[in-house]
Amino acid sequence: MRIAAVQSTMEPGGVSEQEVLLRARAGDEEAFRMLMDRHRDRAFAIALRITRSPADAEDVVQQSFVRAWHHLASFRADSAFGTWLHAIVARRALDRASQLKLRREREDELDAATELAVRGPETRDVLLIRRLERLMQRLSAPQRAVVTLFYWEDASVDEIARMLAMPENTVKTHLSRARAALRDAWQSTETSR
Amino acid sequence: MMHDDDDLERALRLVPAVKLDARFNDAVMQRIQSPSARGVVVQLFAEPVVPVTLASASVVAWQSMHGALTTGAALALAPLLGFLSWRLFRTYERITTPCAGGASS
Repeated sequence: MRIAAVQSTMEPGGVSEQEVLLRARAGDEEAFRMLMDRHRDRAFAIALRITRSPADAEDVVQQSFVRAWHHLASFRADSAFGTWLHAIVARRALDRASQLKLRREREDELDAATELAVRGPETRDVLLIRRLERLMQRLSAPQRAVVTLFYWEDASVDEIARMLAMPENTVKTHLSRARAALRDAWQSTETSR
Repeated sequence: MMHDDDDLERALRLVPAVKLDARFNDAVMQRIQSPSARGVVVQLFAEPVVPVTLASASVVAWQSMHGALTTGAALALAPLLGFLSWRLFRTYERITTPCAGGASS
């Protein structure tokens, strides 16, 4: 179960997602803007977690929405738009993360990413996120992608394999290594207060 | 130790409250309205008309320059090549675009 206390995708407009989707598929740009309003922040959180670069994460999410617009006709509206969008975002973020590996300024952006992820009043949840995001830097981009989809999207191993176009065994390996690394690192750090 | 594990499990499920401002929507709409070169190709190849026409024109032009095929063979081959290139492109698009639920259709 994903904890929604920190970020919510609900919009107080009362218009159902299905209705908005139908309008967007018919070419209604206002409806597509409503979809962006609902989904852009969570999509950004996913891209940021994987790329660790705010600028690249935003670009990845923009590209993903452009791609979603062009492929709305092939989207099966009986499933969640968010899940479909997040699969596009995660795959593109993973591609971008591998390009970022060689970028010199990456270290500065890592700090910015961590900082961005922990703004706001220092509630217990914010402190937990801050502690986790620092440890996330120790994981590889594929490990971060797998962990993010597993915990934030409630996606199963085979769903993640399809989302990221990876063999299931590779997903299992990334997940188990990431969990072990995080568990070890978690126990050796103190929550900063 | 157990308490620590619980905290980690909770932290892993928390989604940070990061925000993109409303200008993001305008930037996306701008990209949609001014598509990249790849976006133009995607749109052109969305239906078989353009690839079939292109292939037909190419094969007929090649045939008239070299005369290696009869006109009938060229006319038969051209739409087939166009259709195949359209199918290949559509397959590539489907593979690279996850469908709902994350599956590739």
